[in-house]
Amino acid sequence: MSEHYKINFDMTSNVMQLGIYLLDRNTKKFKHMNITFDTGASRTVISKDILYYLGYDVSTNDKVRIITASGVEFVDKVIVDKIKIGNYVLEYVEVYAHTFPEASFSLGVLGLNIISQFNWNIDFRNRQIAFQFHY
Amino acid sequence: MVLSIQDVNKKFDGEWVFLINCTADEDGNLITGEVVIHSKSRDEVFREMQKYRTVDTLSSIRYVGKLPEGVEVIL
Repeated sequence: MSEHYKINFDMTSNVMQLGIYLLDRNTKKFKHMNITFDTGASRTVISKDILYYLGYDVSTNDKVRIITASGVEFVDKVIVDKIKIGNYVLEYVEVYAHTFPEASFSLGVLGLNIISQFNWNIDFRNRQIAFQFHY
Repeated sequence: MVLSIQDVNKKFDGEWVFLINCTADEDGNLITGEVVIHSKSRDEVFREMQKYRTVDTLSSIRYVGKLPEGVEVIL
């Protein structure tokens, strides 16, 4: 049985924002950011500016077409060395690098490629989310 | 000055903030941090935070506050 994790979330911008950690390639330390928990997204997407800041190559030739609420976009695939959610660390996670509109108030979305690896229990009253790795 | 995340949320409502020297609890939730950049412009924060690229304390970037009136987000 794998361990349970419990983290807080907030409803900033009226969307569910979770704090996650991405490994910084410059310092080899984790950096924290808030992204949107989005079961409507098939993939995790992170702000291109943030990935660049963390030392990742965001101008690859490995592009993919994504369909958003506002149309079709082409984005770069990036492999993030480590992503930490709560205290659970995922390694070599493929994400898409995208420039979110400033007015979206978001730096990324946590999509189903990560969400589906866990069972989640959302407590809206206490703004807490419990999860457990299920593979 | 190091502030609790609750105080950061109150003080910088409606702004993007970049924090260094953050602390987190055993579950990884941020507890405190030192706001070194804050602005209503996310891009300004992105530009300014380049100065802190080599800082190896725990840092964090986030938008604090509610959406402007009449605006909703669908990603």
